[in-house]
Amino acid sequence: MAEHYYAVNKSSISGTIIEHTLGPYRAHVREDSDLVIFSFSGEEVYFTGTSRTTEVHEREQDDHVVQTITIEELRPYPEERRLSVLAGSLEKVYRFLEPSRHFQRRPIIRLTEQDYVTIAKNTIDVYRSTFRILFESLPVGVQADFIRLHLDVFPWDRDGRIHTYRELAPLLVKFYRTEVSSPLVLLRDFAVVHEKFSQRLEANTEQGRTLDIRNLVVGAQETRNFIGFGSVAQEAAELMRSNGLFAETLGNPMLLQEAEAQLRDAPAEVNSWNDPISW
Amino acid sequence: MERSDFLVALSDASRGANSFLNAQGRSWLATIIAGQDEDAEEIDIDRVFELLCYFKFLDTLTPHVQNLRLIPGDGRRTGYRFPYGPGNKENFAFFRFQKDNRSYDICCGTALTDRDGEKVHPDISLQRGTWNSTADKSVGQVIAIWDGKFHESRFSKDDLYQMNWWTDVLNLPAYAAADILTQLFPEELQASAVITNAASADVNVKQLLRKRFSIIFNFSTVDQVTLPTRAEHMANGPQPAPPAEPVNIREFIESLND
Repeated sequence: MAEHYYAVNKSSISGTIIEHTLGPYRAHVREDSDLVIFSFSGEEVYFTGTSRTTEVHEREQDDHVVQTITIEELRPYPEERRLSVLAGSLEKVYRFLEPSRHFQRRPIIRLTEQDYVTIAKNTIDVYRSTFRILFESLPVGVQADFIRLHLDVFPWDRDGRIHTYRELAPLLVKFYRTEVSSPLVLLRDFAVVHEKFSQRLEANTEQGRTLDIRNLVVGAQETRNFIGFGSVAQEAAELMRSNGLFAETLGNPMLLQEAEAQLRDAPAEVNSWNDPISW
Repeated sequence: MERSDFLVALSDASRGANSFLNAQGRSWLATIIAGQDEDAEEIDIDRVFELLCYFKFLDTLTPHVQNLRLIPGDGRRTGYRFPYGPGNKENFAFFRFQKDNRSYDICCGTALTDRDGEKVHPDISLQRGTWNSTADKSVGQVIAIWDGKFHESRFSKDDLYQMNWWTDVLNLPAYAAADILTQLFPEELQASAVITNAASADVNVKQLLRKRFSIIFNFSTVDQVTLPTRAEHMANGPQPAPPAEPVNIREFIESLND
């Protein structure tokens, strides 16, 4: 194995040569490094194969250092790896809902050995992926609430970092089902009932006054605190209809249910982590 | 589902949830989800459930009544407002309707006065009155009350204590054949009740019959069940007083002389 690892955008390779301008946030590529080649298709990143640097020459050009990197012939993977599948298993990634941003701006990105092997072996960590994707989608206040409720599981007494997601991932799925799904189901039901009621009222009232749900407000007179309840209920109903996390229609079980099944059948964790709870 | 397909789908769905949950102006949903606020100024999931119950009731009575309309509260802002905490009837919106030339209000969480002059706040109350205008928002005669109880898990018997108290301190009329409740609602809603989303559990039906209220389990689902039923309440109606023992006047006078 090499000592250094990089991901290289295929569009920056010409034959077996890469021209690479160094800068403050750019990788300083070394000889005999292992490379993973990737390419973009829309927003998705595909890892297509591997290579290795054989020579690296540097020259000054317009006050910058430019590297000319010679690489071996590309060795394509038997099948491409998708970043959206591997994102939760890579140390490099912390924008779990937009992992492609880590690969967008620079042609060459430094990788750890663990990430290189993960991509090469296409090894998925279901525990970390599930936890990180779901956790990222929650508002900060709710994230804090999850942490507060599970203080005994988080490793605060050691170094405050997460080394394994095996216990955390099922807890977060359960939290999502009870604490997030339930209000949304209620709001959806409310929106549906309100819509039905308004239609009936319109048909039965001589004045024809309709009750547009968007105008529905709940509040406390004493505190002058009012909430646009109707509009949020309507949007929650839309979210429930459109979002796979909460879909409960026949033949289309919600993804949270699938997450439970995936975690049940997941292999033991291959890697250990050193993640903060939030970046 | 293939593991790779699952992660792509989870990622897509989470982005959708994230854009909804984090959007500006919806931070209150986080409050609902957190559900831990102690100062009772924020809406929580129980209040959402109570509003759902209220509109379910409105939906069921709409075909059976005349001139159903919203009576807005006296607050400065326009629109219709419902309380998410105990409040006075005149301050919040409620619905008023006619049935057979009599007026009724169906209110959401606003105050009633019990027989000792204390205020109580059931989640839903049906009131009969003789209100002359929409400006008249006085509390009418209470016909029936309902109390919503949302549960993440199982039904709790604690839910019954408040209703138990209310049925004692409010002079609710006895159920009678063809009363207004039978004319407005389907059978499962024709009695004062605790309403819950929780699955049915063992309860002391005899005590519920004595106190003249029911529990509606699995509300608004196909598994909804009401215990005891309206028919059981009717069968258990007010018992006639036992006939007095005949008095033997001679024995009575003699007992006075002993």
